[in-house]
Amino acid sequence: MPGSIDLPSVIARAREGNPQAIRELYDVYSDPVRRYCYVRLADSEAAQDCVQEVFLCIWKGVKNFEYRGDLSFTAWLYTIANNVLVSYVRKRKRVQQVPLTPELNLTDPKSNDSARSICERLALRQAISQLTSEQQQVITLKFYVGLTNLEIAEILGRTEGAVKALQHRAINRLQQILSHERASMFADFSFGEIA
Amino acid sequence: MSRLSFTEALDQALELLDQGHPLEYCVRQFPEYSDELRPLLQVSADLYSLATVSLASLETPSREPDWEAILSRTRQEPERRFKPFAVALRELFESLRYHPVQRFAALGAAMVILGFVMWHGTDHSSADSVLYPIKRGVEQVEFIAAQTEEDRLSLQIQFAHRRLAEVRSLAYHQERVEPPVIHALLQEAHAAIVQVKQDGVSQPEAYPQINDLWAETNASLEQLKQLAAAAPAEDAATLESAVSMMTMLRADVAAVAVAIPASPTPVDAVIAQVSIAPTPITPTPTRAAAGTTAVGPTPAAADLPAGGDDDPDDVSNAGATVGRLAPSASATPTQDAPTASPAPAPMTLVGNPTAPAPAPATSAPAPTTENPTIVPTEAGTEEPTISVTIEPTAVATELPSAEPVVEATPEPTVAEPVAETPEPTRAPKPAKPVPAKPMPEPVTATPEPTAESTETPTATLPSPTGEPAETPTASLPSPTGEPAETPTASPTALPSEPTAGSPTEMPTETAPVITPEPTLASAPDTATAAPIEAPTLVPTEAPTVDAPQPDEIPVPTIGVIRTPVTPASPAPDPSVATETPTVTVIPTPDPMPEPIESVPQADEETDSPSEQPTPTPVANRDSQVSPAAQLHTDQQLRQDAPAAFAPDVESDGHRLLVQGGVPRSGQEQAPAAVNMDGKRTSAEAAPRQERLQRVNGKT
Repeated sequence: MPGSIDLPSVIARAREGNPQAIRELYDVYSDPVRRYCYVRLADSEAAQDCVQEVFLCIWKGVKNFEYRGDLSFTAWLYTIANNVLVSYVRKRKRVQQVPLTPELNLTDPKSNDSARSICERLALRQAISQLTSEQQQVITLKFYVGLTNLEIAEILGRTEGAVKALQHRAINRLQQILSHERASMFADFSFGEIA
Repeated sequence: MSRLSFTEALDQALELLDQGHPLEYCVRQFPEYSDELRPLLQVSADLYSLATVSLASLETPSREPDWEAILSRTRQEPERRFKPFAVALRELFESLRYHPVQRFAALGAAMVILGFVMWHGTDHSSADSVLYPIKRGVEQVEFIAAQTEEDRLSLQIQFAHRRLAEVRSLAYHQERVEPPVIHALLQEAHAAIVQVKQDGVSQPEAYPQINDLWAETNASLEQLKQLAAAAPAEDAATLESAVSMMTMLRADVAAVAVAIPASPTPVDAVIAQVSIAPTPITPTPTRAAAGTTAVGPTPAAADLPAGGDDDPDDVSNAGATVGRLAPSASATPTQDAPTASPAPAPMTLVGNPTAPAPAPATSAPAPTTENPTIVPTEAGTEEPTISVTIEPTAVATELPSAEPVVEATPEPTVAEPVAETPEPTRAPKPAKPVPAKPMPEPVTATPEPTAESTETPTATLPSPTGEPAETPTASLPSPTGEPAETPTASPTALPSEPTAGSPTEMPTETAPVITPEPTLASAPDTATAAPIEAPTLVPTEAPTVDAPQPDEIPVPTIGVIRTPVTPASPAPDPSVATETPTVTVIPTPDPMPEPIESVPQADEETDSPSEQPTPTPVANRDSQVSPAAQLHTDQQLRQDAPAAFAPDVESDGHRLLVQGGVPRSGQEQAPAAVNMDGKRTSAEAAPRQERLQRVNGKT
């Protein structure tokens, strides 16, 4: 992902106050950050505002950023994104929970989804909301943003092994929730038939 | 291939799934976990699907923001030269994240540093600081944790020390003295002392500490008095009340010290101090010094702020110093004795020839037996007040040690002083000028007195009016400051001696020859004239002379008694007169009223150190007198020995007498009297060497 630019030189130019450096960073990192924000906010416009705010914060604080490798910049970037999201949510007094809105498209326009698939996605989305914040963070960064375990570990300030464990527990928990949902669904359906 | 953990297998399977491999393929890669892995990979596939579908609707903005315009309105934060402490600390801990050992080590070091800072701050917190409650809490824990009674008693004494130190510190450093705080501290100190009072006597291990506590109390009292005198009006009342409370505490401590069974430890010195505690009454410096010395150096040391330490914070040091001094002080007398020897008065009085040279022997034991004589001496010194005080048997025990020493050494030197001494005495009795052999006579006289005096103390005491006792007192003082006083005092002492030491008088009479002697030159004329003219006055003068000494004389009593000191009527008392003459001239029984007047003059001029105003005490001093009998009212004392109340003494108006008498271990009671206001005159503080030089110069 960030391999397309010379990150140290870009950061150096940004420190010198060159706006072009920020543009380059935006071109490379805006999409993953937007996804990250979108998943958390379920609002594309809000996500875009947050992305813009994230890069503005990078511009402000780049002089105090100590570059120690690409991972350090990624961690710094998503830390800022998380802070911006939290601040944004606080301002809007919204619960940090993924709402079920029309914007959350649960259908794949490229394929013909069955009702069952849609129901399962809906159930999965609700199950994610039942995870801990840290597990949600891992799931978001892993499956929506596409970061590696190492990057996630850097962002969360945990070890890679801890991230794997978190990932394992999160998936296991989702599986349990979904199984329970299915069981209850089948039970209701059975009762209906009997009735 | 090593067996992977399920977490690792799941992570690798997710990698394969993310790369687009079918679910079954991923499961087959980990056959050992196939059953467990399949449902989880199914959920993961759904997550990927959901993410893809959900993000499909997320359209990329049609146009990018105008960064140049946005950034132009936004200033970059300046680069920090130093990281915030929180950031640095966080980075430090993050750097230690993967080093548990170093992490725990750093945490332990931080705890140790924090603990030390807390402990130090708490231990040195004053009563008005925030950490003070913690300090008290720690003390409570210490006390509860103490396993033995000895430990608890030691802690109680320590707590009393601390409270006194805190009072001094507060009074010294505070711009405004908070009465509640000081009173609370004093009350706590009192509580601790009461506890010590209950348990301390039974534990010899605590004696040295009690001795230190006594010194600390004296030092605190002195300092508080000084502060009260110099404090602004708004604080004066507070400090005055603190002084009064401290005075009571001092009495309590004195009672504790007195209650301690006789022992060779410094406590003895304390007891001596207590019993002999100088009375603040008269300002007769020279004499006072002598009297004090006789009593015991320890008190002096205790009274003086630790080593002249002005800083009240140095309480510990002060206390320590005092504590050390106490013992040394006791020794000092002994040493001084030799030095003081020059002092004539002591010599004459002592008549210790009989008593071996126990002088150096600081140890009270041997001399103790003999010392009883000393007791009277003190009494004599105290004269006015003393009459009552003297009796304490215990005191006698201690005193002895000091006296013996003095006697031995002094004699030779004393001869001269004695000679001088006679002069004043002679002055009054020029009529007896017969003696032309001052020196020989003195010598002879000295021995005699010695013998007599020795006896006198014990047996003679009663009859001789106690003068002998006074005489001893003079001798005692000599150790301390006698040298200086001796010359001057000697004359005075002589007069007094004659009175008290009727036995001694024999030599005194011989002394008459001395009368003309040079030392008294200044006084001689007057004295001489006076005696001739008004022999009757003698008694009056004698008392006067003694009066000065009383100041320093400790007043033994039980409880606090205000004894209004009324000026002794110059009118010659028959008894006094009888004694006086005796002293001056010869026999114990012979009262020579005439010389009295002249004597006083001589005393004043000479500044007789020993000045034994004792006449009064002498009368009261029957060796058999019980401690209770000592508690005489002023009137009683006047009746008994009017001469004791010299005008000088009376000027003080009142005296505070503190009863410290407590039965000693298994023996006679040792009515220890404590002079609440016991102060040291400047004369005491004066170096003995100077006094000696003065004396020598005079001689």
